[in-house]
Amino acid sequence: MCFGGAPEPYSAYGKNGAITQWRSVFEQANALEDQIRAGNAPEGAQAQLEALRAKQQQLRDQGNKDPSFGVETREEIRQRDVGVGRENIDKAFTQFNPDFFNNFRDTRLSFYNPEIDRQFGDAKGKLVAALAGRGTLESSVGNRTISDVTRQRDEAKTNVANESQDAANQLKGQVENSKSDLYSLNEISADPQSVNARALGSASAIVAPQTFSPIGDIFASALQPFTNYQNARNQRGPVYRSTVPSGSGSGAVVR
Amino acid sequence: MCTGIEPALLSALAGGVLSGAGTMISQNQAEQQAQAQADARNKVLQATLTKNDALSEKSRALFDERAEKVQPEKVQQQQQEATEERTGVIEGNLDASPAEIPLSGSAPAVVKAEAAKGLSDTLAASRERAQALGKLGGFGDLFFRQGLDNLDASRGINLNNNFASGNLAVLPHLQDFAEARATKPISPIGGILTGLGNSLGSAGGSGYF
Repeated sequence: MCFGGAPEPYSAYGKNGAITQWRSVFEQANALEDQIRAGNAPEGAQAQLEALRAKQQQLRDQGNKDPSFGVETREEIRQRDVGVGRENIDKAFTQFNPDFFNNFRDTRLSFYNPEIDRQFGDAKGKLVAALAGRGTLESSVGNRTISDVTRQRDEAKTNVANESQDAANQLKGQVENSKSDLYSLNEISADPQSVNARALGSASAIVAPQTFSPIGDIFASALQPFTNYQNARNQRGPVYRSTVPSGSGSGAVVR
Repeated sequence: MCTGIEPALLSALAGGVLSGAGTMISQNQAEQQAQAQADARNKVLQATLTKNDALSEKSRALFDERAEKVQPEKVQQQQQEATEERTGVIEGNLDASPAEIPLSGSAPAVVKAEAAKGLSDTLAASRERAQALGKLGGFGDLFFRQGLDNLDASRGINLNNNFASGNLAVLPHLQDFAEARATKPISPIGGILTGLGNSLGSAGGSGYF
């Protein structure tokens, strides 16, 4: 007697089934790809990788007759892609090492320091001239004045150095935030090539130089009294003379 | 052969036995089927939980590494390093030696000495201010570094969470597929015996025997 019935559906999960074979080939291909990306792959690795990926696809085509195989392998591939994307991001951001941020800080210092030194030189020169003109250069007043303007220079340099360190930290924060954004995009997209392109683009955008604002006139307050004195001397008008005539007449001055 | 039992009653008894046996066989098969399906679902669940346990361990390791850095001695060390770095930058931007006042050679010695002392004191005061500013900035730098450490740990943990969520998302579908694979057609024997038993009982009761 023949009972017939539907044929047994294809299962990729039997002993040495398609899923087991696929995983083995997938892991071999991934390991080889990691070696190639790290730069320490043996000769002929690229051709071997292509062969493994072709075999992997062949097994996938076979195994996809079982829908469970498709679901499971798709998730494993996605997780692999996210991992590769993350490594690409980390690699693109290796340029932002401590030397990079120290260089930025020192560049900022080398922008402001010469301006401070120039202004100090000008201010000191003017003060020395003013003090010498009044005969107070070689006195405690002169010493104190020169010390004050030197103190102001040191304060300016201290502040610039402090701000430069803050600026370097701010830049570091921007870099890390950008990296985090890319990590999030990577987890959403799971396409390592597009993530790689974004990482390189983002890294280039961060490197764009910042504009530094001018430092302003540091020694204006120190020079102000001497400037006012000189201006007053230059603008001094004629000596006051009485409008009342000293000769005869009703308006004569009584001596 | 005479058994002392009427054929109708005998057929009813035989029908009952057959029906009972058939029902038992069907029930056993159904129970075995349900067990196989439950085992299949549980096996897939267990595999997913094992994968997620591994991810959870990685996240825990990242957290522990991060938590280690907020221990008092580590924080103090980090603060000291931050303060030293900032103070080094600020102090390093000051001149190495005091400035000079252009005094004439005929200036009194006391004036020259007072000038040199004044400028030396100015530099010393500037260095003190630089150190104070470095110390103050060191507090901010400490929390900045701690913030970066938090960011780094959270990236790694988020990645593991992403993978775990992906595994859980496909779990119900994999369980359904596993259950379908474990489902086998139930043998008709139980049903046949039950049917025969019922028929025998009906026939005996209808007077065919």
